[in-house]
Amino acid sequence: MTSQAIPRSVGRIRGSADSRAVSGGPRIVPLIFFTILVIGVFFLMIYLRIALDRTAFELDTLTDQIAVEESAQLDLRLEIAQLRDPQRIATQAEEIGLVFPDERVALVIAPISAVGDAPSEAPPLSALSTDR
Amino acid sequence: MKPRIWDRGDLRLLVVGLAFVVAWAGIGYRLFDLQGTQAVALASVGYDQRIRTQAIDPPRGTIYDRAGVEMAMTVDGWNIVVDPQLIEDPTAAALVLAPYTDSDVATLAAELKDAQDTGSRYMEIVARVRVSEKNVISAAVDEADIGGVFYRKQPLRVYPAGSVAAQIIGLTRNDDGSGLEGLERTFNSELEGDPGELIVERDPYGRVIPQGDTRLRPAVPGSNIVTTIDREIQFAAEQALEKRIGETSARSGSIVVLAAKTGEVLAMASWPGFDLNDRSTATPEALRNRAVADVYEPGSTLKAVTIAAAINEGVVNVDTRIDTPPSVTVGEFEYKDHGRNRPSLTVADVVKRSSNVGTIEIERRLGPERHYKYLTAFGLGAPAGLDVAGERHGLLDPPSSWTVTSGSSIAIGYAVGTTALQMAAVYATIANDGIWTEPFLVSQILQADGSRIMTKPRTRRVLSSETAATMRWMLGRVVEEDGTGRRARMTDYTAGGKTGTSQKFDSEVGVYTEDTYASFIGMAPLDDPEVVVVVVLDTPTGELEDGTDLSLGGAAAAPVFAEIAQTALHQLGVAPDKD
Repeated sequence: MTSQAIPRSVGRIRGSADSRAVSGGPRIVPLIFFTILVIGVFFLMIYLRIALDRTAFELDTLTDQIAVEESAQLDLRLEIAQLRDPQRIATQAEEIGLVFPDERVALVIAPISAVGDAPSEAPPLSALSTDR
Repeated sequence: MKPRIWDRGDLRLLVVGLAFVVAWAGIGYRLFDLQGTQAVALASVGYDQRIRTQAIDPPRGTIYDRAGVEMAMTVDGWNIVVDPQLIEDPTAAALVLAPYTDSDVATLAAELKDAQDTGSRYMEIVARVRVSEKNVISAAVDEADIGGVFYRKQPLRVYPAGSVAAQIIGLTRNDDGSGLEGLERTFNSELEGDPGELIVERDPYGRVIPQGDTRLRPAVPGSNIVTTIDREIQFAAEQALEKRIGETSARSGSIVVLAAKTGEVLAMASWPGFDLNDRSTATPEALRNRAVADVYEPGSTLKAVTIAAAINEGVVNVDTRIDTPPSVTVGEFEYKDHGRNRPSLTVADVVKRSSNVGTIEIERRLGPERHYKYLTAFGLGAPAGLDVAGERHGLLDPPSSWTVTSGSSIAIGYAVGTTALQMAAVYATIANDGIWTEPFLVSQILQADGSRIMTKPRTRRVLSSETAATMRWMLGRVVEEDGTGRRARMTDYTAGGKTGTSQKFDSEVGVYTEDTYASFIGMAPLDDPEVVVVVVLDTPTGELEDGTDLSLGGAAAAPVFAEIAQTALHQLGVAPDKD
């Protein structure tokens, strides 16, 4: 029992001494990696925050721009409606000397015949033919 | 000797320890109090301090004519204001700003200087200018590098057509923008929309916290109103009315143009008028929509109701001969005819010659109950249903309160009060094969969610189709066959109608005066009427070249009908039916 216990404990001591000797160097790498990661995340968060703020600012600018354009569009709609004001047109027409005709002639155009119906009269083009 | 459990040092330690415990317990209790007991209340107080609620005004709806042209709309208006304390040189500022104000440079500079001296921080320079003008001002201000000039946005209600349909559209208040008159008032709840709100978190300096709590409840824009008004016909009606009132020196007048088959009001003109963009012209007289607010005795134009009722009831037909002595006495009142009539006239000639005596005889045969039934069926004594502010019922007593002369008087258009619009609906019934249709001014309401509410006017049959056709034929003779309405004849279209001349009643003295309401109501084209036009002139005076008295409807109002009906039919694209 005793003779078995000593080598086992020696082995344990050896083992732990070995592992310390082995991990003394490699354990710094994860620490550095972790530190870099933390710093990276820290700066990433700062960057994201700035980017978010910048986007919010751009969104605000765009919203303002939309409002300005909408306002201009409304103003143009108003201008169109004002240009179509019958009073303005009548005044302008008067200024350039236009008058209502004394006698108006109304031309009543017969409805177009259905597809396939033969025309009852000679077509206008033949009537205008010069070699007749 | 009894061993000492506590020595002096232990006691001090205990006291200090207890003091710490008490102190930490106090701090713990306070923390618990703040974070536990009062947590909700304090969080709420903090939130209220950070949060700002900003009301969002909904844009007011637009009013369109039937072709979709804006008649009233809201655009962004701007107030140009200055902080006098931030202006270094009042004269230089006045030099730039004065051209956009009513003041000259010296006056404005003095006002700015006074404001500076009194310590004022706010002075309005220009109120409610459009964005285009604001841009010009702001460019001038930037170029001159004037400090202390600010721009405040404010909704601006504008009316692109100025005075056209002014009484119909109405006005809004300057302060809160709510409707004051006309459609702006009647449809205010639809036009104004629902306000929204923006809730944002702000820092102690009032700046928005970018990732803070933001809640937006958007404003619901006001609904848009599409009217039945045709802007071109409306303008033509207003021009014709103004011209005729100038020629006849009438006190006022009104015109209604109704689409005969649908009841749509195509035009409704009143004189005097005003410019919607210039409130100084909006006097109470000018604001009055006379076509619905002025009640008048319609005179002979109402004979159409009496005769249509009698024909529809089978009491008479067009060829029935009616005795027409020069006068007839009812009770103590003597009714006479204008001019000389034959001893008897057919019903058709009673209409053509507008015989009072003949119409009274027909009414006597009809009887008061049936007469009243038709008067109400034609929509008299009740609002025409236009939903316009100031619309009047008119005056029509029930037969139970009629005197011995009431039936006779009403038969020829006295002892009854109507509006021009009610009379338009009466003649539209005849034009529309005997079906009375409620006139309407708003065809649809376009809501912000894209849905639309269409107007469905009430209708009812009043006359048989045959009676309506007979009436149209008789009314056609009035115009086309040298009846009293021959001056209503048009070059392009056939027309039918009836003249009306009623003496005005002086309620103070209690007698009828020589002043008249001259009117003409007609329809065209006669075979298949598309429009009904009513022209009413209040107290026209003067004479035509042939000596005809202009106080008569056939002389003063009939030519206006011809002008407007022809224009309206051209505008609607109705083919002429005259060679």
